[in-house]
Amino acid sequence: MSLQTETLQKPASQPSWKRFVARREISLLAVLAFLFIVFSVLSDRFASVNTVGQILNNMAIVVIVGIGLALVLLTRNIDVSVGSMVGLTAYFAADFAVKNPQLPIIIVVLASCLLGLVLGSINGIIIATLRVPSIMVTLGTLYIYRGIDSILAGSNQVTAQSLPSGYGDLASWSLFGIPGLVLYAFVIAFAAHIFIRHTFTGRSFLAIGSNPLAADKMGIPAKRRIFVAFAISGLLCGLAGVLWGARYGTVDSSVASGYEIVVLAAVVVGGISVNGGSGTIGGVIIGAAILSVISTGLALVNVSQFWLQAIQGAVIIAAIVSDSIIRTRVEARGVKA
Amino acid sequence: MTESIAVTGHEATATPLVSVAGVSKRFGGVIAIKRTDITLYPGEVHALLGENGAGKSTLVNILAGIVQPDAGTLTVNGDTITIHNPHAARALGISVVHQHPVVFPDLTVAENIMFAAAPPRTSLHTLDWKAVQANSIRAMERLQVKLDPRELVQNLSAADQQLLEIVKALSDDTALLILDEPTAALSKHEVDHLMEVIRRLKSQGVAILFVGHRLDEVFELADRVTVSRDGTTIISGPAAEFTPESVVTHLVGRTLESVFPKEDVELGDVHLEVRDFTRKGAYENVNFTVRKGEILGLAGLVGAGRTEISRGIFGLDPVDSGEVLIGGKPVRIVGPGDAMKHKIAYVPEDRTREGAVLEQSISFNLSLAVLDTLSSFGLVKSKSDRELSADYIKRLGVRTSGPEQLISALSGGNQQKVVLGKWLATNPEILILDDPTKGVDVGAKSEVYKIVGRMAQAGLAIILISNELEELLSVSDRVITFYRGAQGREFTERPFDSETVLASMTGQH
Repeated sequence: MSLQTETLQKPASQPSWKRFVARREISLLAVLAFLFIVFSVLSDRFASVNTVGQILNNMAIVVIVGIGLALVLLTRNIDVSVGSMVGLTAYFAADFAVKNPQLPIIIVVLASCLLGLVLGSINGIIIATLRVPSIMVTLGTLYIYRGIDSILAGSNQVTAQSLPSGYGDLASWSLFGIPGLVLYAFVIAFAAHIFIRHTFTGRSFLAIGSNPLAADKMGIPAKRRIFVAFAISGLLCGLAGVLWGARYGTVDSSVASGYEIVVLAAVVVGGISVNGGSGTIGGVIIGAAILSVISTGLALVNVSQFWLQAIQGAVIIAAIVSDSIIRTRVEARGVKA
Repeated sequence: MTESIAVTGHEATATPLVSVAGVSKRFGGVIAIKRTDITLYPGEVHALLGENGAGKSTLVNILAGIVQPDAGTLTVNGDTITIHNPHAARALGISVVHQHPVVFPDLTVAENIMFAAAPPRTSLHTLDWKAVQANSIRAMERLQVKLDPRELVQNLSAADQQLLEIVKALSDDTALLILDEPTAALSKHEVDHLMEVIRRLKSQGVAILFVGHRLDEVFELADRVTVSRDGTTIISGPAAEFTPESVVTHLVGRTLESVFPKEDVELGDVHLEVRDFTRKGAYENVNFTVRKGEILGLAGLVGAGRTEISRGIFGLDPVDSGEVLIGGKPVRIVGPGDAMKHKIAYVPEDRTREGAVLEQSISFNLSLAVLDTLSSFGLVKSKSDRELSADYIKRLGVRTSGPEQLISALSGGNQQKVVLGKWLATNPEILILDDPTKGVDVGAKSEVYKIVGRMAQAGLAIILISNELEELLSVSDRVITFYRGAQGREFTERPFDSETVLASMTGQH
C-alpha cells in the first residue's frame, strides 16, 4: 500500500491559449469591462474622454505606490506605511520647492525620492535584520512618519499659488493626449515588469515569498532582497509624494491619509498574493484601474465617499478570500509546503 | 566529472572525494551530532543509516553548506575547507536532494530548475527564457523525467516534486550527490527509476551518499555502509561486511532495559477500541484495542500513518470511516473538545509547535487544559492555579526555578514533563503519546517513561508512538506495526525481537 501516483510521465503541456485564458489578468480585465459598462449605463457622463482621463490620472499614483507595495508583498511581507511616506514626502517636497523657488524642479524630485528611500530603508533594516513581522513595524512607522509630517506641517497648507510654476507642470503635461502622470506610471511599471518577470534577481523576490525555507536552502540572500523591496517601496512613495503636490496643488499634513488601504486594495485585487510568491505588474495596473473605475463611477452616481471606503475594504477581503480559496485547494492536493 | 580517477571497487589507496572527521554540531542545548566521521569515494554508493534523531540530516546540512559545524574538519579533494553556504557547496560539486522537497510552488518547473543553477541571461542581462526552458528540459532528460517546464510546481504531485528535486540537484559538475531519504514519498516504480539513475551516476564516477533507513534498497545499492546512532557514527565499512541483521543490531544498539524499566501492571478490561479506521491517503482499515493499564506501542517509519491515526482518534483530523469505542460504547469525536470529554489526552509529536506555549510560564501551561475546573464565574483563581503547578512540578520532577519560569527556558526533557503534566491534570483515562522523548537526552527519557509507567499502573490505557524503536519495545506491553498507512503485524509476547519488528515496519513482513 502506498501513496501511488498514477503516472510518472505527464502529457507534454496544455495549449497555450488555455493557459492564457486561465490567467488571472484575463478575468480581471473582464471585471473591469463589466464595471465600465455598468457605470456607463448608470451615468451618461461616465463614458467620456474626460472621465477616462480622470480615471487614468487617479490610478497613476496608485500604480506607482502599488508597484513598491507589490514588490514587498511578493516577498511575503507587507508595507502599510506607504500612505504616511507619501504624505510626509509630499509635504517635504512642496515646502522645499516653496522655500527654494530658484532650484531646478528635478532637484526637488530627487530630494523627495531620496527622503522616501530613507524612510523605506528604515522599514527594511528593521524588518530584515531584526526579523520582526513587517505588519507591526510598518504599522509603527505609519504613525511615526505621519507624526513627523504633522510636526513639520503643523496647520500649514501649501497651495498651488505658492508653489513654483514648474511644480504643477510635472503633472500637467501630456504627450499625444496621454497625461504625463500616466506616462510616469507606465515607465515605472514597464521597468518593474522587466525586473520582476525577466531578471534572475526579480524572480528571486517571488521565490522568497513562495517558500522562504527553500530560498534559504538555495542560498538566495533573502534579508538583502527584503530590505531592497522596502527601500524601493519608500523610493516610489517619495516620487508619488512630489507628484501628489503637482497634481492636486494643495498639500497639508493629511495628504494620503489612509491611502495604504486604497493601494493595498488595488494590489491584492490585481492578484498579488498576500502570501507572497505570486502576481504580476500587469495585474497591479488592472487592479488599480478597477479601483479607480469604482471610485470615479461612484462619485458620478453620487454615492457617498464613506460608502467608497467600505467598498474598498470589502474588495480587499474578497480578493484575499479568493486567493485563500485557491491556496486551500492546492494544499488539499498535498502539494504546497 | 571531477577528476580522472577511474574507481570501481576502490582500494584503500583511492583518494577520497570528501572526508568528514570528528565533526560536531549542537543546536542550543541539543547535541545534533558529535565526533562524526565519514569518507566518500568517487564512483561509490555510500549508505548512511540511522534511526530518526541519529543526526543524519545535520550531517547532510553541513555538507550542503546550510549549517556550519562547531568542531571537526571537512576535506574535499584533499583540501581542508569550510563550506560557507549552499552556493559554495554547489561550486564544489556537492548536490543535495533534501528529504522534503525544497521547491517554489508559485514558480514554474523551469524556474525551479533555474534557481539551482547559473541562470542563462541575454545580452541585456535579462533572463533568456528560451535557454531557461531548454536547460530545464536538458536537466530533466538526464533523468528521463518528462514534466512540462511551464507548469507551476504547485500543480505537481508529491512524487513529481521529489523527482524535480533530484533534477534540480544534479548538474554536469556534480561530484557528490547526497540523497536524504529520497524514497519516503515514492512508489515502488518510482524508487526503481531512482535506483536506475543512481546506478548510472555511479558508473560516471559520481560519489553518492544515500541517507535512509529502508534496508532493502540499501543492500541493492550500497558499496559502503556507515551506521550512525545518537549523533555519532558507530561503524563504517564495505557493504559486504554487513548483513541486514548486523545493520539492525548497530542501528538499535544495546538493549536499554535498565534505562527503560517496565513496570508490572495488572491489565484491566479493554477500554479503547478502534474499528476499521480509515482516512484516505493516510491510513486504512486500522483495528486495535487498548486495555486499562496497558501500553500499546505503534511502530513504524515516519509517514507510516501512526501520527495521523492518533490525530484521528483525538478528533484533530476528520476520519473517512470507522469508529472509536470507549468502554465498549461507540463515541462520536469530531474535535479535541469531544475527545477531552471522553477523558482522552493527546501529547503531540511536536511539543514546540503543538504542545507547549513557549512564551508562557510553567504554571500557565500546566493549567491550560483544566482552566474550567480552576475557574469560578469565568475567572481563573490564581491560587488554585499555583497549587496545581507546585503539585505537578514536584510529582513530575521538573527541574525549574519555580512555577513562574518560562517554558522556553527549560530543557527539552523538562518541557516534555510539563506537557505531560498539563494532560495529566485533566485526569485522563486514555493517553496518546506521540514521540514523547523526541530530542530529549537519555536521562530525561528514562524519567518520562517512569511517569508513563506510573500512569499505566494507575489504570490508564496508553497508546505510545515512538520513532526510537528500542524505547518503544522496552516499555510497550504489545506492539503493532504500520507500513505506509497499512496495519502490519501485532507482537504480543515480551521481550520483542527488534529485528522482526523492524522488518515488519519496513514492509518486509
